[in-house]
Amino acid sequence: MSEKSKVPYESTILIVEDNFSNFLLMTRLLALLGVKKCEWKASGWKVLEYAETLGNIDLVLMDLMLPDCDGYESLESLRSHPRFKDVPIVAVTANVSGSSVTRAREAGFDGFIGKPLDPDRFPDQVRRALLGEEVWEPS
Amino acid sequence: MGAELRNDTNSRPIPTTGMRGGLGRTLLTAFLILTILPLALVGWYAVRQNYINLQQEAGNKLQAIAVLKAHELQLWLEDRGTLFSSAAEMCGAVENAPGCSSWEHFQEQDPGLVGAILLDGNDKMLWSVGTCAETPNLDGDLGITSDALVKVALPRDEGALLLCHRLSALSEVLSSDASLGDTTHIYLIQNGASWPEAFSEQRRLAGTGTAQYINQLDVPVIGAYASLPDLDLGILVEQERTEIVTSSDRIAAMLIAVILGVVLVATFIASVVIRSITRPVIWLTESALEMAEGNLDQHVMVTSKDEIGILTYVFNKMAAELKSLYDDLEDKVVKRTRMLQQVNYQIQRRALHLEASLEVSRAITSVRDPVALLTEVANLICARFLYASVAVYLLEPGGGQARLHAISPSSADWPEVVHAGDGSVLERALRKAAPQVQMQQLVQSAWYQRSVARVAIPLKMGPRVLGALAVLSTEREGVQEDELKVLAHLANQVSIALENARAYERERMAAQQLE
Repeated sequence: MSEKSKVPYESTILIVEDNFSNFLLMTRLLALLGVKKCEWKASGWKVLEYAETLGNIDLVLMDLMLPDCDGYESLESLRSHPRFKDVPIVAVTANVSGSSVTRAREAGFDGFIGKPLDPDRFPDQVRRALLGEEVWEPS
Repeated sequence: MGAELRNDTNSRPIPTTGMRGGLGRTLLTAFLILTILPLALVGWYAVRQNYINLQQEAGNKLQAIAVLKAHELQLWLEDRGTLFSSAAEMCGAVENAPGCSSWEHFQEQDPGLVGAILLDGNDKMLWSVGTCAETPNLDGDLGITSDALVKVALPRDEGALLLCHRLSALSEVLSSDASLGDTTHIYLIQNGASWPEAFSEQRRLAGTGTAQYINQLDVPVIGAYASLPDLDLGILVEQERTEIVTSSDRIAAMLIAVILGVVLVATFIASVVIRSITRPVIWLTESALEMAEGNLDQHVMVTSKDEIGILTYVFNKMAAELKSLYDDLEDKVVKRTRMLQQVNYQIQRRALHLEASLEVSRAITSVRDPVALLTEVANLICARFLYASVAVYLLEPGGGQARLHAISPSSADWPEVVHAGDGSVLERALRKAAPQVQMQQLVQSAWYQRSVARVAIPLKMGPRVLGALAVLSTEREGVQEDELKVLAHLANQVSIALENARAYERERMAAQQLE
């Protein structure tokens, strides 16, 4: 399914982010890109169950510091589900240290976008992530 | 549509059941066997009969020729004898014939006549001319002894006239007018010579007969004979069998050619007919196999109006209905699954809320300091209920405005003061003393529909409003009725705890003043 929806305006993006203003920034930038369906999960609690209620998801932007479950656990639960096994999941976090990037890479993330977000680059980063590219840009 | 379907099926492997198929081949084989077998039998029978008839006719013909030739030879010899005897009488006294000058004349006319002997009644030779002595058989075993002498006795009043003819001369007489075919030969054979084995002594005694055999030149022939018992001679007529049966062979060849032609035409017609029958059946089979594989999007072209056409039409209809049923079913399953998952998520969320409300209740009863209590409440509700932010407002003395007293997380965006009459969700909750929900569109865009819910729950103590609990919920479905009830219950507990804390504070202050 994700093969078909490569273009931003046909994609569904799930943002797992506990910070409201960050989410607001992301969703506005995504709206600029043309993303119509952008779902928000404000905590790490039952991300997989929430994702299951959404239908097809083409990209997940995952904050690593989350209430309840952190980003790594959420990634693991999503990857264990056949439907989300191949969906690109990009880590979005303020912790941009080298060890954090290495850990994200080892955990199986498909990309890494550092916070604070660069409004000039973020739409392009998302567009490339939707096309299946790995976006490793901590800064 | 049908042609496209064919192309599609050609380009990908057709699923099979492991069975061989080959209806067309079976039909074609049956058709060909039914055509070839009777034709071949009839043809073989006709050729065979013709062959036998030809041989019989040839035998009869040869027999007739043999008899006629025998008769002709007999007559010729009698003529010669009569002629000779009358000439001899004219020449003078028969008794003195050797002196007759006409003998040389005779020999000139008939070189085959080599001698004559006159016998009296007691078989005593009266005179002789020429030679009648036996000459050795020069040709040995050949049976046709060209230089052998044939003695012909002509009975007279007393005794007999014996004429000696050369055998070769007689043979010339026989073959003089024979236009009997290229391979027909007439032989004059003495009875003493070797005859073909087919004509045994006993059979020759019968006078005439026909037989098939291989002659001395190793050629298969049909032969007929007629004997001349008076002369101790026989006439043998032979014709090669190949010449006789040539016409039969020609007929056989023609028959085979005709049968082959008929078979070719029959094959062509049969293949056209069978193809018209089997092609739709094969298409149907392939489509049915595809359907069995799960590819329900099948359509077979209707090419005829017969039973197969009807079958194809019904098959198409059935396939279409099956597909629409299947698609509907899949659609329904997807929708129901989604619904179930959503309900499940909501139920889990509710359970979380109940658990969280218990925890918050427990926590707030243990805090005595009003400021600490509110901060604790905000933090706990925000963390346990997984809200984006939680804030607690308390009415200022006088009731004109409410001020922010606690917020979680600290970066959350809530106003510091709520004024009476500003129309916000908090102001309305405070004024109406009832929970209020306000949906807020996140992005001002026609295509992006995502909102968050701002909820304000009044903190009430009886009819008196102390303040309000403000919540920012990011759930897609907004805030549900039962969630509001849980929050209202919590708000009540917070009110009580707050009143308790204040009362405790007042008591403590009073106690301090008394001291």
